[in-house]
Order: sequence, then structure tokens, then C-alpha cells
Amino acid sequence: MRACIIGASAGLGRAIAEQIAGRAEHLYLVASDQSDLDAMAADLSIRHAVTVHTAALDLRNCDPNALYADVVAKMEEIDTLFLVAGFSSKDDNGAVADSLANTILTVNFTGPVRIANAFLDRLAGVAGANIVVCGSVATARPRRGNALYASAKKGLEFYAQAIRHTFANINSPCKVQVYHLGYLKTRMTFGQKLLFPAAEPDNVAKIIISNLGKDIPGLCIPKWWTVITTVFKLVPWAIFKKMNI
Amino acid sequence: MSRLFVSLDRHTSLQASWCQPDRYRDLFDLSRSGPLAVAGAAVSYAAAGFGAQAETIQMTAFRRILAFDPQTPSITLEAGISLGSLFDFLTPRGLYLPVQPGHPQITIGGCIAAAVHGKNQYAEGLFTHWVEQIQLWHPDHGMMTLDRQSEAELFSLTCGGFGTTGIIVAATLRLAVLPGTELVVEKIPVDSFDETVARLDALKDQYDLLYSWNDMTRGGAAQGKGWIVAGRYSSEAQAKPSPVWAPLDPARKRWRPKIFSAASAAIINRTYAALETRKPRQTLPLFEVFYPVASKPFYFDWYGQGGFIEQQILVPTLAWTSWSEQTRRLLQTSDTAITLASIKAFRGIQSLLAYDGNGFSVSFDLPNSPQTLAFLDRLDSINSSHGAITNLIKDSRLSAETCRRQYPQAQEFTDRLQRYDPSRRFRNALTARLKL
Repeated sequence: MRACIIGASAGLGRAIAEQIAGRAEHLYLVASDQSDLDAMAADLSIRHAVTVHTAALDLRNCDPNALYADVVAKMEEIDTLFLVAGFSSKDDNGAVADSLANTILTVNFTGPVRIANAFLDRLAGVAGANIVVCGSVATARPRRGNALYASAKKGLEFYAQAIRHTFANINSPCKVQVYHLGYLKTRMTFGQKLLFPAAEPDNVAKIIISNLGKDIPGLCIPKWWTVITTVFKLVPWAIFKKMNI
Repeated sequence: MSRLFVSLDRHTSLQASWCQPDRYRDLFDLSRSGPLAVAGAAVSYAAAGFGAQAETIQMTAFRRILAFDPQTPSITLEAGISLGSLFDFLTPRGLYLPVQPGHPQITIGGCIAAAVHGKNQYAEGLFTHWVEQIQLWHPDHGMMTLDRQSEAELFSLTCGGFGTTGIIVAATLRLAVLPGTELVVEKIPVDSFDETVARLDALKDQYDLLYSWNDMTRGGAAQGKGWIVAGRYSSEAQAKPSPVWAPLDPARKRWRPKIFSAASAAIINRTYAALETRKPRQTLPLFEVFYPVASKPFYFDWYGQGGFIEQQILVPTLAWTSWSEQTRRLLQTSDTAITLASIKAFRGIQSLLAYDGNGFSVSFDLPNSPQTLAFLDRLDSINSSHGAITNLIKDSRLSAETCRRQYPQAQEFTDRLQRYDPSRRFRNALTARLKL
């Protein structure tokens, strides 16, 4: 396996990197901070004898084509792209500062989409290739508590499903897996009072890795979120509009 | 965010703010405000990982291996890596950390900050003897590289400084070649407390593993009857993978039956002795030897919600006879009971707050009760008058005055710390109690 992980230094991205390192020949890790990436690269290469490449990128102003060129130059080939990066803010409940809006939209939507777009042609022709897209259960229904985050994640999921259609149309061997992730025990949820329990990133990573090679248009992890999101969608508007969520 | 912290012995608990950074920038941002405490696994007997008005920074997300040289052999690690995780990495490579405390959840940073010892301090020294370099972060000083040559004073303050000098971010440790894949352990019977020490003294150069189990609930001449666990490495079998173990979580709310008490101690000790003496010779996997507590997490819960007190006392060799006689006499007149007693041989040079020196280290576990606290207060006097020192990371109720009586360099430690960090950014319940 030769995989690139966008958002690799913490939370789910780090858990995925740690779990696939044992079966990967090359890993290319992308995150915003080089010191975290250096520590990850050292650890994974020492434990698993995998060759690890890194790039410290700010998704708000990265050049996807330069990233793609560097990935191909260093790994020669790529067969799996994980789009894990995410960012939310408790202030995302109405009008927010433009810089915050820009961060939420670029980290969750335009950044990953532009990167996927740069890799698309290459991955479309690789046997056993995967594009793994981490969306959110927040996309189940629009609500005031995360307007920008949920919109951005919905956009990302929509794009991923469109790629899936494209690949099916051209009989591409590359599979697309789209996940609606529930709460995870990460910095994003730390200290927040959550309505439902948060999952361990290690457990979620295990499920995502076991699904590589499959065609998944949209799957909730953990699975019990399917029930919650279904109920959520069925709440009548007259009641929903009064809910403080 | 705040959460309840409880020391492993359940003697100290408090609600404190808490964070668990997983990126370097978060770690360094967080440490710019207010008083701080640093926690690894947060399972120390005494409350060194949290304190009133201090924000606890839990380091367990920083658990990566940064460099590894199998030839030297040495390893550089982030401080939040656990002993168990390191064991899983090193054992297949034929290497190990010779000094390890008894639970795999404990972190490297915790081992350094508490200057812990292992199963055979006499042969291997303290954990900090194996530390070559420390990366230490302090909000006022930034990131510092410490070793015995370039920053000797801060290095010695940090090793056994209970997290008061800053956040231990990473460390380089010397490793040793694993002498075997398992240990052949025999139990050598002893009839009394004093005979135990005489036999340990005679055997201390002959075994890789050496400590005793003593039944202190017996009266008269048989007080302290038990056995010496003496082990040697063997390589007859392949190393076994680590078993699954349950993490300790003293803050977790759950039912804790009070099995160990002054009333039940005698019968539990007799039953345990009867079961164990049926196995005079055993071959034990490395994991079980290094981390004997991992398979017995219930032990700590069985003292009930009130918990227990562990007192570990390093008695100078020449003071043993008098100390032992006075301690046993005190025990006979006390209403408490020692539920677990164990002795190890020690050697070293005591300095600052390190639990180190020449003599015999005695561990007592007792149910936490007013009778126990009264007994330990009187035992403190006996200890101090014999030049014995109490292990500060184990004993949650030791007073600042007793600490200063037993550790001649305690004030020196505080003075040096004050010079290095006048604002004293790093504090915890242990350092507050001991006025360090």
C-alpha cells in the first residue's frame, strides 16, 4: 500500500496512520504542523519499517497540484487517499468572523476537494485504489449549531458521491468510501457536553481500514448513528425549529 | 474542562481542570497560562499528577518513539509512552528497560519524575540511572535539553522532582540486552522478618529478581514469616506476547468491596500463603514478572472506597535490627493490620528527594483508617530516628515536617527550584502537602 493521509497528525488521521503502517510500503502524511509530522514519521518508520514522507500544509492556502507532484515524486505510486482533516468551532452558530468561516469551509470542504481533484486522474486508473472521505453525521439535517461545518461536510460528501458515480461510469477500479462519522474522542470534542457518547479514533480507524476495497456511498460510524440520524430527519419541522441544538 | 482526580490509594481526590493535548502546538499553547500539573497515566499512589488550582496536562497522547539505536542500545521517546507499549516494542528485539515499576500503564515521564525503582534496585539502580537526556518544556524557559553534563543541576532536579520543573516532553534512555525470555522463580521460605533481611543480604548478588513477601499479621517470633521470591532469567522458551490487561482508573465510579481490613488481614494472608507455597518453583513470562499488578487490578479496589496507604521505607542496613524491633513492637500494640509486606535490598547514594541509599526497602500496605494513620504517625518517628526515609511518591499522608527530617536535602531541593522557577508554575497535591 502507498497511502496519503490528509489530516494525519492527530485524532482519526493519526489512528489510521498507526494502523496501516504495518502493511504499507510508503506513507505520505499531511498535517499543519511539522513537529507533529516529524514525530509521527519517526515512530512509524521505527516500529514498522515503512518509508514515511511528510508535508506541513495549511489547507487554507495549499497548492494541491504541488502536493500531488511531491507525493508522486516521493512514492512513485499512490493507491489510497484518506481525506480525514476536519475543523469545527463552538462559535459556528450564526454569523461568524470571516476568517473563521474561511477556515471551516476550507479545512472541511474546499481543501479536501481540491486535493482529491488533483489526485483523481491518477487514482482512477490504479487497481485496488481507494478514496476514503470522512464526512459527518452533522450532515443528516441542517441545524443552527454547526451551520458552516455541516454545510462544508455535506459538500464534501456530495463531491465524493459524485466521484463515485464518475468512477462507476468509467469502470474505474478505484473505490470510494464515504463515512458519516459520529462524535470522536478528539480535540474537536474535548470538554464538550455531547448528546451521545464519543467513539475512540482507534476503533473507527479499524472499521475504515477493514472496509478498504469496498464501494461505500455513505456509512455511519459507529453504526448506531444510523438510527439517530434517521430519527433526527423525521422530527417534524414544527418541533425541530424549536429545538436548541 | 474539569474532572475528578483520585490518587491510586484513594487517599487524595479533587476536582481539577484538565486537558489532554495531542499536538505540540496545543501542548505549548496550553502551558502559557496559570499553575500547571503534569500527569502521565495518573495512577501514582500519591497525588503527583494533579493539584488544587492547577490545570493538569495529561501527556498520554505523546507516546511516539523518536529514535532507536539497537546497537548502543538506546531509545528516544515521547514521555507519554507507557511501559507496556515499550515492552511490546523492545521484547521482540531482545532488549528491555531493566528498571520498571509494577504496572504497564505507567509512563516514561512518570518514571522519571518520580525516580521510581524496579524489582531489583540493588542490581539495577533507579530508573533515572538509565536516563541519558531529557527534553523539558517550561513556559518561561522554552524547550531545554538536559543531561548530566550540560544541565546537570536541572537534570537532577527533574529526575525525581515530581513534575515541578516543567513538562518532560521526551527522553533518551539506555537499554539493556534482555538476558532471557522468561524467569525461573523459586520461593525461599523464611520464618521471620529479620531472617528475611539476613537471607536477602546473603542472596542479593546471586539473583536477577529478588524480593520478599511477609505475613505481618502473625504474632511473636513468626511475625514476618513468608518467602523470598528469587528469580533468574532463562531462555528455554520463546518470549510470550503481552496478555490483555485492564487499565487502572482510580477516579472511575464503581463498586469497591472492602475485602482488606484489620479484621480480614490475617485470614487473607494465611490463605494467600497456603496457595502460593504450593508453587515453590515457577517459570514466569516476562510480562508477569515486570508487571505483577497488571493481572490483579482488583487488589486496589478491594480496600473499599476509603482506599489504603502504602508506606515504603528505606532502612539503613546498620539500623535494621533496632528499627525492626521497634516497628514490630509498635505493630503489636496497634489496632491496624499490615495487609501486604515486602522487602527488597537497596544500594545507592541518597540525594535531594530521591528514594535511594544503602539498606533494605520495606513496603507496607494498610487499609486507610484512623488506626492506620495513628500507627503510621508513630512509625514516622521510628523511621526518622533510625535515619530511614519514606518513599514520597507512595505515601499520601506524610507531613512536610517528617519529609524534612528524613530528607536532609529537601530544603536544598526547594531552594534550587525557587531559583530556577521563581513563579513556581508547576505544582501538585504532593508538592503542596510536602511544602516543596
